[in-house]
Amino acid sequence: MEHELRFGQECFKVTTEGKGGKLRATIGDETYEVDLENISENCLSLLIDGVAYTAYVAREDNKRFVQIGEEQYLFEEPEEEAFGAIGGAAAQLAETGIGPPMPGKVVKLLVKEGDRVEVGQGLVIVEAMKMEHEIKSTIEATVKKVNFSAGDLVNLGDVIIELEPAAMS
Amino acid sequence: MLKKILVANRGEISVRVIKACRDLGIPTVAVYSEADRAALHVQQADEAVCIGPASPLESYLNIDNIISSAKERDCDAIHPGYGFLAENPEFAKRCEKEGIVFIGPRGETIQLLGNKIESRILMKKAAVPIIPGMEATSEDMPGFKKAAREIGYPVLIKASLGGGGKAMKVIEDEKDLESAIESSKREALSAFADDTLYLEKFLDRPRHIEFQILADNYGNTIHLFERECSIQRRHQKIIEETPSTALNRELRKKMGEDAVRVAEAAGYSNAGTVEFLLDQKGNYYFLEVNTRVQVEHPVTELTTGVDLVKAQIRIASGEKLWIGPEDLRQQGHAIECRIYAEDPENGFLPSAGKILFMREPFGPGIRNDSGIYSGFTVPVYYDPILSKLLVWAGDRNEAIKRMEIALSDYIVLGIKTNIAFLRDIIVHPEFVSGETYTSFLDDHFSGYRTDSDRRKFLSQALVAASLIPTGTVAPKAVGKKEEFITPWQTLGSWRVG
Repeated sequence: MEHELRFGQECFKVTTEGKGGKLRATIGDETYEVDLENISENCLSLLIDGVAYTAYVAREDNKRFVQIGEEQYLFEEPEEEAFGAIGGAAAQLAETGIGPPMPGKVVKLLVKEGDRVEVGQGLVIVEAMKMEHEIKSTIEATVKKVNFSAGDLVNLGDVIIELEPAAMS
Repeated sequence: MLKKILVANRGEISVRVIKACRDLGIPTVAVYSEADRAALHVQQADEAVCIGPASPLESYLNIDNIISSAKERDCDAIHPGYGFLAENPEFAKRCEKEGIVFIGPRGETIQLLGNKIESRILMKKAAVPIIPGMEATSEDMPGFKKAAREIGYPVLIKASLGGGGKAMKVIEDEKDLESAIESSKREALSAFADDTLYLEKFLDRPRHIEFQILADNYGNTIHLFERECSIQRRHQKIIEETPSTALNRELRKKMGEDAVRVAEAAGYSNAGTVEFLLDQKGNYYFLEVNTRVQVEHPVTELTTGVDLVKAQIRIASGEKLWIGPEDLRQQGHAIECRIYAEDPENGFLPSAGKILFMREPFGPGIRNDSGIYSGFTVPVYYDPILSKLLVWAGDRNEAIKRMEIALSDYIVLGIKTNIAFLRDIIVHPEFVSGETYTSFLDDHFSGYRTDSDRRKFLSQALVAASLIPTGTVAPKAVGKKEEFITPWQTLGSWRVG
């Protein structure tokens, strides 16, 4: 298994191989012998080259939270994995839905159905917590459908705009 | 004893009050805003009432809704906690008018002590020292010189209409006064279009020392020693401890007696805190009285064995004070760290959101007063305090070591907290040696480190991150709206170049 993890501005490739809790992990030039015991969903007991570590872990979206000892680390899986890898799991994403970050109101739609959008192009402005937020496209795509109009109230999970990634065609 | 208590607050203090009520066998009613239905205090209470929308003005500060909820649920008393309505004299008076016991001092006492000028007059009458300063400006230089001599150097020049440190100067010696006054006048004139100046005693690196008091409804008043709360960020306390390293037996006795005199002069009843500033020479000056349970009250509980919240309730129900000074002594050392949902590595921005996983430290001498749990979503609408971590140990060094380990063992994943920041303060040599002043964080922590400085376990953490069980992620469900990847979910991590 190969994992790409971002830590701040740095990017690390971690390769793990083996089974039954006996693993070999490689980060760059360094190789570690790992003995893994899953204590719970959020707790891993690790023996790394014979030294014991307890790692508390959680994941949400592309974020991976890890605490070992007093240090907490936030890693992010790069987006390219989700959108760019054609033929991979990401290719199964036939469409991409644009929703609000929190309950709010649609202030202005910046695109209409059929528009081609570039990476970073504004799609819709939503007002939440008394502040306006512009939602931008993270991909090159075509606007497939617009489900809400200006003035509409939107909730978490609502899809305001559906995009069809350009890379799919 | 009171029959049923409504707790007019939220978060950890609400949970704390509910626990005291449980100890006393008194049923509780929690109140909550629409944003707090899932909050811990709602789960802990016997009954709960929604008192309005998320906005504090419409819920936790809504006097009418709180009073009518108390009546509807047959409560004979209200505990206000701290913050929100706790020091609002109108709320206390309204409770009195409606025949509900307000667990705290009388409304008129809250009003009196909330007024800076009136309380300054009161302190003078009670012969309690206040920060010396000019009562009126002077027209000429001899007037300023005379005033400065009376106040005693170093003095601080302040502009009457001042703010933001403009025209403020510290003068150590009379020979520098004249030129400083002239320059401050020019600065004040250009900054505030007014060159009125006055002088005040300058306190070099003072400590914040406060005394806990308890007074019953019959005029009996005691103090339960001091707390030192010098570690502050923008006047917000973050670490508190007792005893203070700065007090000896004699000074403690003197300040404690003054605190009691303050309370008596104000006709105080219930629990309260008298705050002082203590300078390097052992001079102390009255700051203000907090007419409520203090956030940091547990350090006093741990060292004296007195449950202050239970004491508040017993006093409010009309009990005569059951302890005297002869029953009290300080045993061991206690430290409190306030756990906030904020990001010290990004300008202390508040960090709301879902706590994906948490694990509280436990063990001998560790106490958690908490308002959170794994899976709780910290709302954006309220104070970012999550919990208070406390330790007790035989002496200060043991307590510091215990706190260091307890903070390391406090795991909160999913939102940012100040836990690592608190730990860095606790192990700082100046903190360890007790050199704690209100300027401590400015002096030692003005440029705090960033995320990427944290590398001690980076390799091990990378391995762990690669091995996180997939069970922690909800299975993909086709057609479920939440499954759409929105730019908001990716925004925080999207970096170009």
